[in-house]
Amino acid sequence: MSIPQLNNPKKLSYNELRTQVIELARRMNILTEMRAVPVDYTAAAKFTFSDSGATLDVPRLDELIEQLEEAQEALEECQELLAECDAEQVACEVELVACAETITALEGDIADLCSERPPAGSWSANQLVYTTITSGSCSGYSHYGQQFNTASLATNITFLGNAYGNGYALINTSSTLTALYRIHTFTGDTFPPDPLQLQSDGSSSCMGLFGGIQIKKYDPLLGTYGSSQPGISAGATGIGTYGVFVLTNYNRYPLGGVNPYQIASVTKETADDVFQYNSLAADPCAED
Amino acid sequence: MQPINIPEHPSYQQLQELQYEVTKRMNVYLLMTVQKTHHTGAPVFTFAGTNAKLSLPTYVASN
Repeated sequence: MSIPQLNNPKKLSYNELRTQVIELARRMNILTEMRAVPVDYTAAAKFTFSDSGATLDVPRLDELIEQLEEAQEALEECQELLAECDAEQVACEVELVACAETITALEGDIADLCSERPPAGSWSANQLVYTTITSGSCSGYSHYGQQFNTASLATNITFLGNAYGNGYALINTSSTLTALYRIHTFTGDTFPPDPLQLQSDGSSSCMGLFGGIQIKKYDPLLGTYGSSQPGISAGATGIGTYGVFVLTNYNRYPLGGVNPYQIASVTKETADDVFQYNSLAADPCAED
Repeated sequence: MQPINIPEHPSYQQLQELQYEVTKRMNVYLLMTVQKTHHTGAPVFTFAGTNAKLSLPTYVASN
């Protein structure tokens, strides 16, 4: 309860003067004993003057200052982080430019490589096929050795049947630039011919039955490949998809334990003798 | 600071002394100074015979 205003008359009797002076002294004693009290920093500063005492409420600053200093430290940390982020952003941008240049170079390389591939696709690259490495005859018996090579489909390959009965496949190999593989219509103890012994028409001089590739037409109704056939017919008769298989010998199965094993498929879509070589591997040159 | 002693039935002279002391202390009040102290300190009011002082915590940046 606050102390009321003190009347201040100009003329006082002795008793009135006595009362006035005593009250003044009492109030002065209260004021002299005034206490300054710290209060929460969210409270307002306040002066209270009552019969019980005088107090001055002073908002305490220590907690506020502590929060202020913490905020200041946080601000400085944020500024440091911001500086680091700025520096990192610059580095990332430089790296991004370098990556973009690398990507551009790689895209150029891919475009170059794709431009050099067979025009309508590719045989699975580096498939294992085998060929004879020696051949000859002794006392009327043929003898030969054989080895495996890697091979890819040549761009000028043809599977068409021809005047010699069976088709031929021209294959790039690791051992010789090209090798002519005769298409066979049966399985058995057969060999691919030695390219060096091939005659100018592609037939083998002394091992005419030898061959290394089978062509089988795909039956979309059955979902399987049919019997091996002597090449792909010209014109509309040959329209369809064909599996290309490599024959191995002596039960040596380079891939998957299957003889013959498939290395590619070929599609002839129209009566024109144009073949789409469907690679068994993913085609990196395919359009998205 | 000793409080002012207030007699129950003061004489005229005592009233004069009271009035003198109250006036003197009031004059000290009028010259009260405010002093800054560190913000972690407590506020303090000091009333001495010849001066009155109010110490108020104040923030002073460390740097």
